[in-house]
Amino acid sequence: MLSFNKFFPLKKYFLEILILINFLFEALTGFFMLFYYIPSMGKGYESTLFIIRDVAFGYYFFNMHLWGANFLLFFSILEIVKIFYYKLYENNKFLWVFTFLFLLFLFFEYFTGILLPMENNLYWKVERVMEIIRDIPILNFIYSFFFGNFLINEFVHIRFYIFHSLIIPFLSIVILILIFLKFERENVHNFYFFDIFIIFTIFLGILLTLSILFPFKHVEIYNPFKTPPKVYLPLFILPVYFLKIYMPKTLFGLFILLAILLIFILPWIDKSKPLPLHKRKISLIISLIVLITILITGIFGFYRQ
Amino acid sequence: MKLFIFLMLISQNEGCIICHSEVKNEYTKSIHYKEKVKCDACHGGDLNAIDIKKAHHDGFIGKPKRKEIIKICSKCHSSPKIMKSYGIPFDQEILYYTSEHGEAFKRGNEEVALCTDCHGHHEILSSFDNNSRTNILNLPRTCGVCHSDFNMMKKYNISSDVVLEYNLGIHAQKLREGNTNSPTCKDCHGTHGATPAGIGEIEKVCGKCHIKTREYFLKSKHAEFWKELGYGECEICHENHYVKKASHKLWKEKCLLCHSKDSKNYKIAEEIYTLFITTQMEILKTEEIIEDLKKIPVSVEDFLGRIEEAKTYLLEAGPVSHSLKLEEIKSFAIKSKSIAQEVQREGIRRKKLFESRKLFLPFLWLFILFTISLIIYIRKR
Repeated sequence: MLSFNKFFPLKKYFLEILILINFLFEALTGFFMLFYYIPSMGKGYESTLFIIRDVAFGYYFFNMHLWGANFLLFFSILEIVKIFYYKLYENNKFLWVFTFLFLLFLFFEYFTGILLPMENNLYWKVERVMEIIRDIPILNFIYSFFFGNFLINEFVHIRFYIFHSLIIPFLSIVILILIFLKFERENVHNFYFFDIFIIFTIFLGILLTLSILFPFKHVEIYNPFKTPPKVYLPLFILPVYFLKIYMPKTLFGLFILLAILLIFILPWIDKSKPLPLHKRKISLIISLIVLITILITGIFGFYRQ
Repeated sequence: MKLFIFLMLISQNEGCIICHSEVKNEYTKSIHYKEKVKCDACHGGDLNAIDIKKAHHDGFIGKPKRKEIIKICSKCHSSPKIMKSYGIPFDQEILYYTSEHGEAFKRGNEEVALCTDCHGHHEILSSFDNNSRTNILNLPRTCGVCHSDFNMMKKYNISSDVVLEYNLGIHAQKLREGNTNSPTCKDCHGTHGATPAGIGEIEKVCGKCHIKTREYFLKSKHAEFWKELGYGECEICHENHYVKKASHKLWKEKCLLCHSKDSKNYKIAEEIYTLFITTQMEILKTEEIIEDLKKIPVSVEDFLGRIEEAKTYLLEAGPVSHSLKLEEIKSFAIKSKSIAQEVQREGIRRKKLFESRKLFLPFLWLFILFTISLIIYIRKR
């Protein structure tokens, strides 16, 4: 019996490679759609339908881009959990900071991306997320600095488009390079082309399967006067959404801001030994409490949305 | 004082308003003010006099009595010379005397509607003005001032619910939605020559707009037979003021008013009803399929045109049904149904074609497995 390690020596960096491949998928499919998408509130919906219906392979590119975005976020969250679990930031504090920054960029990329098809359900998702951002101090200032106001109009739409297709991808690439440079210092070698090819093929298969079996349903064009009966928020927003509903506005804003700050400076305040999490007892207890809280608020948020 | 009046006359060029300032607001908005028709045109007197006595002297009428109103208005409005340049008809007075209102007025009834009751006194606006009492949108309310007055209408044995009924009907609904072609009181009863439509006339009144429907109705057995019996035409099934949106249900409900359930004629009515309902169901089913395809999304632009065609045939079958000729109705309904079914078949075919992408999946995974196996095999060696 052959061990997995022998056939897959890159196991240690499996997740990172997956993120890289996924990012590449997103960049390629997104780049393809740039040729056909018309960045306007009126034409956005029609041009998206045009990509899906009339452009060769447009259907696969669009749905793979959508599924890939979810996977990329999921893998990046896993990555940050991995860094925390093995305390990889012990001698490399900026690895943590850059990865968290990358995750924040991805959240923002996701948020700006869901507006672009101008579909009613997606439009209302953006409205809900905007409501959350509006209540977080500093973040709301940054948001209004770039987008002007908390309304969706033609100007905001074009800014979303530019951020989604140009600025954030560029910043993400820079951050990714920085992250991988950090890894390089830890002597990454044995670059196996075939291993990456295997991951690539399986991932392509998964994305294609999901695109065919569960494509995105375009119910209707956006309508600011017609709220859908239920607006399903992205899963990672649910805990925050729950807190937004049940906490006083100011307290909620400060809490989220503090949480973001705390995550940023975690490598400097975490004085535990550089061991895996199950051997760091206090860290384990704290992270379990945080995880359970996130799960519970997430579940409540799901039923309350 | 006289100097003051003189100065005001020079500055305003409007003598009466110096004292009668209470009418200034109303009068200055009116069409008469805009067309420079001065107070003396209706009230007489001298506009330029600086003395009250002189101002109220020269053929002064003051507040006209009700019986004088028509005469005063028609001084200008029956004059072809004056009216021609404005493009306004000058036969209103003649028409008025042919109306129920005019007839009663001639008999000495001063309570009936006169010019000022509908058009106002000083604040007369052009009927194209949205604020005018005679504007299409305001006409039901203007007529309703008298025709909704229970005590007044009781004297003449007229129903005082007509305006309320009209407001509940489809015509008023369409008018409220902004369709100014939708009929109001004047379109059926006339304006100055207002008379209720009698038996044998209703079909003509409704037929002004529902041209095709009238054509088919006149071909039917009902047309002649109902006239002989002295029945109203369209109103028997559709009501007169409370005209509801035509629905296929009428075939089941209204036919029973005259025909028994077992009669041969009622069987035909039931058949027509079934024909309409089944066609409509087919169209609805097709629309559902189209909506479903839109969400996938599959191209449906060509279907939208076809389904409109099917709907048009069904819509055409509506007027045709007034002829009561089953074969004729069938020809339209079948055309509509067959188009709907054709679109359904094509829609289902497109959906299947879309779903056939799933067949590609096993091959994809076989290929992936093969590739991985190949790599493992190479490694092993």
